[in-house]
Amino acid sequence: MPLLPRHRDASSPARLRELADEDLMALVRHGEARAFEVIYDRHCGVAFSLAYRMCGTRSAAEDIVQEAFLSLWRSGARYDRTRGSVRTWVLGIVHNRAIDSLRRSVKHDRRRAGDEGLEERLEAPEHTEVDVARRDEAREIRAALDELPEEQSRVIELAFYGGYTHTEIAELIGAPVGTIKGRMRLGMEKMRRTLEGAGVVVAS
Amino acid sequence: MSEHDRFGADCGAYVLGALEEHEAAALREHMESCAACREEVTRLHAVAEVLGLGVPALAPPPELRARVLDAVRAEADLFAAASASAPRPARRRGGLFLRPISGLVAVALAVGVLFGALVLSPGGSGTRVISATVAPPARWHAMRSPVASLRASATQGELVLSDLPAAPARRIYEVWIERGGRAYPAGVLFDATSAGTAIVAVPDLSGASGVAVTAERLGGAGAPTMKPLIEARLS
Repeated sequence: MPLLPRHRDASSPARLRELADEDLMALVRHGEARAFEVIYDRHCGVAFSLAYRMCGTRSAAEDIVQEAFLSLWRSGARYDRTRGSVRTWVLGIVHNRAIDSLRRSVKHDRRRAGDEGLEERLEAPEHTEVDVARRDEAREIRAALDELPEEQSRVIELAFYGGYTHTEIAELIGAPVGTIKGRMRLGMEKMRRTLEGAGVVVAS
Repeated sequence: MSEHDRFGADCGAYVLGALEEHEAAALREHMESCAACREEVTRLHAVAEVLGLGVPALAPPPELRARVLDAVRAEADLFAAASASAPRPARRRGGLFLRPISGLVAVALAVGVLFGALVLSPGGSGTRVISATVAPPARWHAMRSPVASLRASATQGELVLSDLPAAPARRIYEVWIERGGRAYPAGVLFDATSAGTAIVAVPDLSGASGVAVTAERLGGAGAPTMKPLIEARLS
């Protein structure tokens, strides 16, 4: 039996772009580079945006996105469609790698100076209806975070985007660890209700 | 306070990745027997999953696309060539040391290591473990350098690598055996696994003074084209 089944019929670039992510991942598992290109083009924007938000420099964000997509390519066989979309899988890898990188850098010396003005220069143009829908979704998520009491949104941001542990946050803010964990739990629960109401998160 | 109350308080921090590792492990263990915590974590996890989308949208630089996809295409070619040529044992012919190894053998070897198939355990009491000198992160274009050691018997060895960055685009790692101040190809090409690890058999250590690794073009080179990225001294 050949190691690599042929998928020539499905692999013309135009046909590939019509396929759902999950079907593309089936081709990626068989070493189809062109299927992977479509996956990259669909998700590199959100991946880079998250990596940049977390690391604050363009070069660190690029390294993380590169590592994340190469690991995605090499470990495609481990993608399990029952456990979520390809997009959340990509974002999960980016998030973990960015946290690793933040935690490796010297403690508290990692606050990003940020590449000056980069956000303006790199701001992604909206090309398609899909882009516009994503922009709206991102807005809903930010709004749900901004609606929280400041003490809750702050600990969630420091943990998720800053990669700080609850003990580090307790030190930074000067509040007991139990209080910090409580704010995280309350804030996340409120966000869940808001986002379920907006249809961004599906009720479980 | 019940056990559930104690662990329930950790659910928010857990899905945000903000617990210390031992606390996260304790919560995971507790969840095996606590449906309420499992459900809460599942519910909150759905929110953590979309937090990654709630950031300003930026356009990734086009050179990043080229870098990622060049590496992917090169590996796909290697993969296709290896499967088309069926697995064949790498044979060493006499006097081959100074010549580049042939393309097919190189591909078979490289893919063999990619899938962790080329593991050769030097056993016996004469085995020693030598930690290798590793180039600084900048030379790896990575955030940290890998950790490398060589397990060596008198005649053969095994390089054990972790935190190994993937080889740069259109390059592959090549192993060299140093004898009398010269580096000879070991006939072994490899790349990191997705976990950043590799165990690489080094077939012939007789008379060797050291083992080195460089990054070379995909078919391998006849002589190193750069200073070693990894070097283990045997004597």
